[in-house]
Amino acid sequence: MTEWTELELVVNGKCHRALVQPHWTLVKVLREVLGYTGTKEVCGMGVCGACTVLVDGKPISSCIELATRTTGRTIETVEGLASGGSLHPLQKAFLEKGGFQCGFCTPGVLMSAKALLNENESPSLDEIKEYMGGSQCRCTGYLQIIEAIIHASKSMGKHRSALTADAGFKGDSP
Amino acid sequence: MVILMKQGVLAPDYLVDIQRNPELVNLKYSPKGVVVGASVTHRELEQWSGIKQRYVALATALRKVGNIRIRSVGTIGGNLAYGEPQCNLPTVLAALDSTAVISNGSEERVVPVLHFTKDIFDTELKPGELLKEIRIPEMPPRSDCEFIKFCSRTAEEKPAATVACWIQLEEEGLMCKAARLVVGAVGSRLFDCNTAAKHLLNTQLDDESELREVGEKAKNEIDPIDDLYGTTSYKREVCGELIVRAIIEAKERLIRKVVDHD
Repeated sequence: MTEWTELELVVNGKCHRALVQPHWTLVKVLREVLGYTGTKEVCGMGVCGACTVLVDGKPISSCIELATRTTGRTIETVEGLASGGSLHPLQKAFLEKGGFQCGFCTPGVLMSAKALLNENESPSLDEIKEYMGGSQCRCTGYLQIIEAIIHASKSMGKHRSALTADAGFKGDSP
Repeated sequence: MVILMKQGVLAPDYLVDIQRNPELVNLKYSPKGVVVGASVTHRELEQWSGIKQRYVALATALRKVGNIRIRSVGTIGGNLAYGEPQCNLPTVLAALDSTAVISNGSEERVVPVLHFTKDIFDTELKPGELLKEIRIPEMPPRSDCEFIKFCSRTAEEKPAATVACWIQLEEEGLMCKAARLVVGAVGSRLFDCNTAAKHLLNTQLDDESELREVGEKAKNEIDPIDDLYGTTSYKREVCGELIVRAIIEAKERLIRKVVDHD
């Protein structure tokens, strides 16, 4: 007999009630039950990062997280980035710096970047690479993603200006 | 586990989430060392200043586990209890002489991490038992540890070999007083290359040909298996080389520490 359970999930500050099966993953519930289709499932194994959402501020792979484990926690998806009709600084930076092409990995990349900047306002190049190393992109070659994160950090008023002097990285275009 | 459920390999009737049990999320430092509750995540331990300062090899091993998302959710206890031979942490925890505390709710028993995984996905845990915490002893004076993870294919994949080398110098001078060499990921369990390690004692660890002989001896103390990450002969050769590099790196970092302190 199929078991169903009612979950209360708080997504982007909004409370939802959803009827789910206990084995359903968070990405399935977000996309197919609650309609938050920004988050994408690609590898389904927690490797590629496309399904990244934030749970209590921490980046997680929603494709391998049971939805039932996220009840009582705050969930943030890419739909929650823009606010009051304005794009988040990260979204603006990704637009300006060409941080996406097909866009399929982009929601996950944006959420990982948000978690990074929440944790570290002024990450170094190595810190960005290490933190974002779990997000895979087949289009951009990653440099534009890194530039966009640096740009967003600066536009949020926090970044160390010394970053552009890092050897081998051109930083902002003139 | 969720991956196995999605693939239809596991279909449990009941699943109990114990991660938020307050007894399992302890992370505390005492004069005897560090106690890590089984539900502490990799990321929590990785960011804890007590680890970064005192256990450099463990901090290295933690950062090399999966990706930031895996480390945000995956727990130290879950990593060990899964019993997968290619995990990073058991190798370095064993080299640090750590122990695992197992509880059945009324009694506890302590098992060295070195012997916790008995075979592939087979650990010391019996039905009705839970891994409660890991105890990492305080680093003895004038000692250090190095961890190396070697991936034969891509960085995201499981390693072909993991090696951890712990060494301690005499109270004065640069003579090696004690050493542990642990190899993981190559076979079904951890391998304690203690015969090879004995050849490091009473030396200054500065003769590369002697260190290479130790690496050669260690090859005879491991039992690798053929798999996607390498053949048995490949893994033996890789381990011999990694052991030499781990000894050299641990020694050089230890000497810098000792010289700075003196």
